[in-house]
Amino acid sequence: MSNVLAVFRKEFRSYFNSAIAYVFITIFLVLSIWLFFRSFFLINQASMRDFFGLIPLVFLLFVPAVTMRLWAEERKMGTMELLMTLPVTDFQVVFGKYLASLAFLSLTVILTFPLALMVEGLGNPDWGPIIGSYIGAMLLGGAYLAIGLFISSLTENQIVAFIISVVACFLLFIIGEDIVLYSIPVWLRSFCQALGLGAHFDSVGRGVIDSRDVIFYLSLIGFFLYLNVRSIEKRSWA
Amino acid sequence: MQGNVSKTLITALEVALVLAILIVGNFVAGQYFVRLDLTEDKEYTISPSTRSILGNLDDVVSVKAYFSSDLPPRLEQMRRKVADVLDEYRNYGEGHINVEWIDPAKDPELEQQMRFLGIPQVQAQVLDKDQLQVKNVYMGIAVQYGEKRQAIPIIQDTYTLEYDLTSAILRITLDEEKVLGFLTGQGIDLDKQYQGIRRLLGEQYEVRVVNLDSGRTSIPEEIHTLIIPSPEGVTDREKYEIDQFIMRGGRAIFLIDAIRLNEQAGLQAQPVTSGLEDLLANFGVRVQKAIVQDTRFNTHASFSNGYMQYSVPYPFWPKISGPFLARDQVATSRLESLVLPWPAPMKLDVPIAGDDPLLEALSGEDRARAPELDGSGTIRSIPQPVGADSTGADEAKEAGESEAEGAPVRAYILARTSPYSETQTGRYDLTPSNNPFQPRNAKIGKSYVVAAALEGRFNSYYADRPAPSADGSEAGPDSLAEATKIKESAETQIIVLGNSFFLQDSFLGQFPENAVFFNNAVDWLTLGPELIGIRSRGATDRPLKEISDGVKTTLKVVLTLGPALLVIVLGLIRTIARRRRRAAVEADLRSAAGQRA
Repeated sequence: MSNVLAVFRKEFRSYFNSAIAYVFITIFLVLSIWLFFRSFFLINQASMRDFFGLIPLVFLLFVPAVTMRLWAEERKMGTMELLMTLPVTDFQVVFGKYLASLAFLSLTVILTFPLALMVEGLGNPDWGPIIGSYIGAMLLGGAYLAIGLFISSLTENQIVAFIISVVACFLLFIIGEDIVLYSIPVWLRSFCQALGLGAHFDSVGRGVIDSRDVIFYLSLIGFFLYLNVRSIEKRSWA
Repeated sequence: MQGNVSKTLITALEVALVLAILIVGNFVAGQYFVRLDLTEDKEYTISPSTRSILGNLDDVVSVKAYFSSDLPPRLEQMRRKVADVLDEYRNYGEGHINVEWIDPAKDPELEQQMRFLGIPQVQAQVLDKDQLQVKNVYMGIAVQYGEKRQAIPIIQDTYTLEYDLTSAILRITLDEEKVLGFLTGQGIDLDKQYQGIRRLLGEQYEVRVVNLDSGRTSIPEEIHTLIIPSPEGVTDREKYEIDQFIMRGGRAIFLIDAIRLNEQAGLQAQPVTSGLEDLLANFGVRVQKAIVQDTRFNTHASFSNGYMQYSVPYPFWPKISGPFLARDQVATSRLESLVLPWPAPMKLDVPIAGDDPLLEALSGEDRARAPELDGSGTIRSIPQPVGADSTGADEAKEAGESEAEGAPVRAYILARTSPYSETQTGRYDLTPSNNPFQPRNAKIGKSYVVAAALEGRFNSYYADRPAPSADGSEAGPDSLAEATKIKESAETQIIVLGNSFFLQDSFLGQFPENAVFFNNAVDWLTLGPELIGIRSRGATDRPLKEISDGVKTTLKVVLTLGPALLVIVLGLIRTIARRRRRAAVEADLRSAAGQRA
């Protein structure tokens, strides 16, 4: 565990050592909050539904940017070999890096909390969906992060990692949406629907924490972390 | 090389295995799930009422969900929500709820059966082979208990699913058939005017005619809900019987008209006196001797001037729809509209519970003026005993017919007219040509309550009065009746409408939604308190406070830029701190190097 923590601490700190992290957070906050305010007073409802409605799409661009660096940079800078020779297991490194990115994402999401306070101040919101949406956002973000982290381990080019991650996350998101479901054979539908990231996010966002949704996200995260471990193992003996 | 290939193969196999385990694991987890409902009103959890009804089942109720398997995605999502709800029913039914999913397309014989059950085909658009096609699908539910069955023909959303399902289960599992009574008296011709609604109600209940015969007979014990259509000149003793019926816990629907039309002479109307004014006032409702015309939300009516038929918008037929119907009451929650021809407004002297549709409908300035627009003279408040400092109670005292202290009767406003309404009293001139309709000039008037439900423990109108004698003579109080007189009712409900026309055959045919409303209202009263806990689940309106544009702009700017600025400032501080540290380290190194040199 202390190894995981060491990796976590190093990675988390290094986010804040480059200006890029600040640029990302700033853009994320300004963009998502500005989009939210465009309709908030118009709809005149004490709810954050519209804010969280945008989150899957905003995350699509933000999360891969958070993870693109994590492995690609190690490989590019040649620090991969160094890391692999340290007395830590592959899993510990993967998990430490994952936790660091998750902490970074959480921090960013927490910075939107003043919005919730404003909604409370201006009306009488139902906190169930708001809390549910925050949990849902973390689960969805966590899934995107696991995917992005894995893809970052496949290449040494950050830009390539970013683009492939965006595409991969987008595919997993869109697969369960109506637009795809309309055009695929009926027998595939329920499978694709269950696989789509968006439907599970909506379900949690209603304010209902359903064990099925949580298990789905945890399985997805676990699977991509597992793939990640396998992929760096493969590198080390390649 | 050989080794590499086999290793890759093993890795691939392992990955596939892990994936398979996860998929199977998720599939199994899908069968056994728990949910934590964080919403304030427990919107996605079955209500305690349903749970107790399901827990008390003593034999198997079979629930058959007839859903086509190839529904378009949007409906497919709803099908899954229905499945979740049915799963909960099964869990709480403790083995007495048997859920079965049936795809009608697989068995042509089923179609016949479903027609018999009353589950229709619905047309839905589906994309098939790059073509939009209209498909016939089924999405209905039938519940069966022994020989008895009930159907929910079309499930369009899950908002009222729990109510529909639980009331259907309750209805078929009830030991005895509930009995409805239609009160007749002078001037009420049940056969002529109320045939349609009686036939409709007869599908679910036993419907009887109750004739009080000037009070010589009383209301039979088995009558559960009494419908009092357009009473006129009710005698004292009859009033006493109605009062005592409610005291015994009976439910009643009062359909009080302010006018009586003279059918021979076109639109001539006379005011009518129900004889129940003081009784109802005692319960907390005063139906006014007036009729409402809604200058904006009304329906077309056809008239003949002797030469030709013409159809004009007719303000005396308010069409109550959307925001002016209570969304939290089962009788009106899913109703599109309700047309009440020549309705009488009413004032409520008891606290109003539940959502007031008008307050929900208004916004901005109008909301601040709501008490003024509100014809009821009451303020929106939580249920509280009358006699507390509510304006309604004061008014009731003024009226001299106040409820006794501490009776927690509360009212739910079911329907009101739009704020563009006014009343006509005294002489009624109902011809459309004398009441030209000018939508653009619609005046802001008042919104009037035209339908309300009252719930609680009512005090008898005869609590401090002698029971009138049976034959209506002045022979003095009836000692037998006096001995059995009940002064305070058990918890019960009544519904008061300032209208009976809407239920008459001619209007029922024209406005079928009226029957839906009345059916719901009767169900709510008759199937009892078990169902009251199940409110329909719509999206609750949670409006924002009124704030000025300046505050809005400030909030926008501060909240959009504030968190970002905070991040930037923290970043700058960290960068500067790091630079300083680096400079210090470098200086250290340099001095160390200098010393060595």
